[in-house]
Amino acid sequence: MSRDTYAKQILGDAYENIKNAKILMVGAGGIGCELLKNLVLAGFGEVHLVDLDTIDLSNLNRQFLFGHEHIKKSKALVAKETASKFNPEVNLVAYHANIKDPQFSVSWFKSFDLVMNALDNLDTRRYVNRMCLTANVPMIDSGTTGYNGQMRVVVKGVTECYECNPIETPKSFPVCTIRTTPSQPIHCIVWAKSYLFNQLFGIDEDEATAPELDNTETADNAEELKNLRTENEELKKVKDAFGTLEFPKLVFEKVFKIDIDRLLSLADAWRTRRPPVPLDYSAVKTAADEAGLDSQKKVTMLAADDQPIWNLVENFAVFADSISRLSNRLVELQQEAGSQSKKPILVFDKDDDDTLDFVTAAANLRSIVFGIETKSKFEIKQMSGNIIPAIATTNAIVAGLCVTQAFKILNNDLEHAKMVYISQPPARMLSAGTLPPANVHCGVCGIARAAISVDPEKLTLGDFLEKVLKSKLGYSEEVSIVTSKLLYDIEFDDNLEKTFVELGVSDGSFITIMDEEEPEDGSPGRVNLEFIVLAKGDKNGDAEGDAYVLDQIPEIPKKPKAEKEPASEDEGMIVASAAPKRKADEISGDDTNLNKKSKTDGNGDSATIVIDDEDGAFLID
Amino acid sequence: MQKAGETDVPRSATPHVVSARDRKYDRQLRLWAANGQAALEEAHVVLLTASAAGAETLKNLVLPGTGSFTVVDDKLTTEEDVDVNFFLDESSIGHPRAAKVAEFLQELNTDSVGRFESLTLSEFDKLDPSYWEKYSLVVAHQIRPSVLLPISKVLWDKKIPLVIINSIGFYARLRIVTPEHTVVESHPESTVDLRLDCPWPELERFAFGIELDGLSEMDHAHVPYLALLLIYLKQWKDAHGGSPPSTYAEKKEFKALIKTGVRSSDAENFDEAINTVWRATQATTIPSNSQAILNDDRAQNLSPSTSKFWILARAISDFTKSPSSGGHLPLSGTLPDMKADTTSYIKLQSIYRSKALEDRDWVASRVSELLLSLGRPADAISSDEVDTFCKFSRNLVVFDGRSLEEEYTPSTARAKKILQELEEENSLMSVYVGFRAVEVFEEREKRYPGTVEEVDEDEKVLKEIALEIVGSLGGTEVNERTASVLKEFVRYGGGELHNISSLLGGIAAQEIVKLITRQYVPMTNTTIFDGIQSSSAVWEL
Ligand SMILES: [Zn+2]
Repeated sequence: MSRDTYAKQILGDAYENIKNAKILMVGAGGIGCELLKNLVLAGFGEVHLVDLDTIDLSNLNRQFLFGHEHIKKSKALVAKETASKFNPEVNLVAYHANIKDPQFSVSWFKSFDLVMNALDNLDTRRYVNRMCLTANVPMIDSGTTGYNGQMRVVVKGVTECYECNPIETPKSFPVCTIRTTPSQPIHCIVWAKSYLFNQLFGIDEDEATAPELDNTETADNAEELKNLRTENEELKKVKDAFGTLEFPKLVFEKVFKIDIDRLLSLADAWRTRRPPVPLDYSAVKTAADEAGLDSQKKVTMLAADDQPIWNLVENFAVFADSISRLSNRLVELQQEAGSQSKKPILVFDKDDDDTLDFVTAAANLRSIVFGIETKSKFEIKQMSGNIIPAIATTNAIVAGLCVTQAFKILNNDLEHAKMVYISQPPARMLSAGTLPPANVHCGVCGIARAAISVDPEKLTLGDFLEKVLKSKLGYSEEVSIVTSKLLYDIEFDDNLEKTFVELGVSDGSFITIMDEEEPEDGSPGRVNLEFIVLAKGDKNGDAEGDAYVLDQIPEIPKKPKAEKEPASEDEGMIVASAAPKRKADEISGDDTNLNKKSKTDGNGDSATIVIDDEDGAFLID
Repeated sequence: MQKAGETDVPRSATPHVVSARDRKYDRQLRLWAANGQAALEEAHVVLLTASAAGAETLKNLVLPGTGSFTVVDDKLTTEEDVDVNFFLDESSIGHPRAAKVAEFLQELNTDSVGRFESLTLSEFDKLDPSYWEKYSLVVAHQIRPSVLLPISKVLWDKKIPLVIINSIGFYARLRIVTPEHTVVESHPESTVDLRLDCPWPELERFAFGIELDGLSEMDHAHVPYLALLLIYLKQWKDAHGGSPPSTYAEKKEFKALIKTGVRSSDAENFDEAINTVWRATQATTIPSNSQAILNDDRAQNLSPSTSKFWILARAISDFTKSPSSGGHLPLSGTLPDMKADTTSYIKLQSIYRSKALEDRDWVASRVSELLLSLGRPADAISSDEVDTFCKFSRNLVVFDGRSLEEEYTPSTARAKKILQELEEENSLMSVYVGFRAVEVFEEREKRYPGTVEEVDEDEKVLKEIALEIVGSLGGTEVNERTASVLKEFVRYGGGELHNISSLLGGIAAQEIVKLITRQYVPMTNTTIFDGIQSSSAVWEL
């Protein structure tokens, strides 16, 4: 028998389809390694893989295409190199890049028969979901957490898309809880990691970009937010002492004394809460010296054990020492970078001990100030790093299932395509279900989509409204035009003279058109229309010299009749409504405003935290 | 103010420094912890037949650091092998499969020590039973029953788990054969055990010492909800002749009673109390599966060779009969999340912990007595082991296996179950019968069905064999579904499909990790996967 005889025999007619298939694999991590191996051995004709990530030691317990010698190298490139040895007939193309890069355009997506998601975060999954819907390419999504996992097929207009149901998003906390009134260890950990660490060593901007913080200003918190801005200003001043021996002391006094004293002056906040107790630097320092924690060597030994819960003095010593370590690293980086325009920064990494020590000690010190339970470094690693367990076995099961579904899609046998959940006994090990139909109210797949080529430097919003929306697509002026922000509505026409470039619309941007006209007969308006913008050069302009080309007039159906939103409140269980209203910034693909949802389980044992993990996004209790 | 997560009885104080190995295994240590990892690192797994499914199973065991593995096989690598097995390549062709697969697997992780042996099927028979003693677990891929049954008997007697895997085309089968498997760390969702219906004196003193009316608004909002429940439960009982709220209406009324106490808008603790009413009004009992284990003969009639598990179970059984337990299991000492100020949270924590330690000490001293009476050292069971056993005593698992012989002998087979399942639409039992028929076919013909030019005859023969098997169980026919499954089997010609073998390797390794670490609940004892329907079934056969 010759090679691939069995595959031919077992797969029958599907075999030719597989051999001619062109697959895009997004993500080369835990599931990605398994998937690539399966695709290569099944004889898929052409596989492109995209991953921006590099290889870390903690990947090696499952990402078997990588070895120690590959640490810090590109996952995509190494995966390609290792896997191609096993079937030289498969054409493998690897990109060490972000799938959101403009090079991966809609037309590029269109060139694939199937997209397979092996991603580790919600944001990118949503993006790929939209790209697949726009390009009308079937997608298989998969994810695992510990012993559990899931896999499903998404086909535009046929099945649910990735966002048809509200997606559990990473938990976010109101900024005042984090900055002013923490009440749980996680609040202090988020403060240390997303606020203090970034202020000292990271990007020099306010926390609007940290997804864990929600700093919506309301009438209630205006006063507090003003205070917080003062804090930020003061901290910037402390940073002038960066790299000096005084620096750890100045930071300590600033965040555990001066800021706390200021908080105490907000008497109202402490009417029903325990007021915080500021820490005194010299007293704690003396205690640390007396405890013998006076040399770096001793502190290093202390910090190396991640099991015990450190006391005040121990946290203090690790705090001061880790600040010195991180400052030295940053100074070194800055010297190496010289006068380059991009200033080097440090990024929190749960596997980077210097950053983890800092976050552990800073979080615990803040917990002590607020009378909150302190945690061990091991526990804080898990809570701060959003670590969830990951092993080869579950990834292997999920990837195997993905390929069985890929066979079905390539065989046009969607009827039998499935979604499958993997769970642990005593429950069924694999629960397969037929794919639910698309949710007609879905703001992602229940809308019309079109691509428009534009010259962003020429096309103004006014022209876009008049020439495209009104004359070509038959809208009235009662529309809203939205990207990550509102560009136009009937009461806001300030931007009409501006070009797309001036409005921040460029290649790969999404623009949503919402029909705001209410027909007098009470019939529903048209569904939203989402354009993906493709930038084109001058010479492609059409005869009239218009700065746009609309290849196809999209069909924009009427909105389905609204149904009542089911919402229920049970014993301690807050069930989020099944059909959430989608806000403009959610539609745009800009995820700074996360769905805020909370779910506590009925017995109150544990707060549910939704997190992203290395091999998939999932919900853990 | 405090919102604390589940708090466990303190860990042992052994100093622990994070090593490169811990970092590499970090993501899995969070599933099975250092003790699970240690068990894995001590294990030696042997694979019989270097197939794709077998190699994938080992891959998933080598990656997490299983101590050693051995690949046993007698074939030379062919092109078809390379096509389906990721752990063979063009250069392996013509070389022994066992050596090549072991070599490729070894590259995955140097912490794992790989070996290989060349043994033919006929040689297995002649092996001295002691040959198997060096292995902690045996994985067998597609070994014909006449060879496998005697091996399974030897392993059964030696209490070495045997995991049988089969992968043909879109179908896969997994069977775990082990006489007894006990699990202490079953990883239940929660080990919280509050005892609000039967508080012990220290807990009562703490709760009833709180004068709600006299508290400031701030203190009132920080009374732990456990204390609130105890206070209002007492109020209720006093007004209802000593009985707790039991009906739905009464529980609703009880919630209303708690609500009357709310003072400020920021009464998260009262919300917590109201949301936990169902638990507070539930009677603390010994779960029936735990009770069955405590009553088991193996616990009640100890012998010098009894395993630690049953000695511990006996000690717990004695504890539940002692006056100091009040008929309950040892307290886990785990406290749930709650809003409380630090002082009262710590106080409450120490009340639960002291009680847990007290119970644990009783059990520990009973364990020492039992060990001595069995002529074993009093410290043969460590205090950590006693701790863990007490903590999970509500969730103990004993899995009494069925031997392969029992499954394959018509008089002891689960005939009724099999025949019943075969009646179901699209039943996966048809795939099970298919695997059994293929085994017999291979045994008789020394080849797999579908590997000759003229396959119609193979299909007919396979169907006759299936009828023999069904007939031996009391059935009368091979139904349409089974016939179409058999046809598929013939079409596959005994070949593996990589992604199905890979999936089976994932499922098998997952169960093997559970067996070796003795953590989590393993599957009992057969699973069938059908890659056409993407569905699976689990049965005890
Ligand atoms: Zn949708």
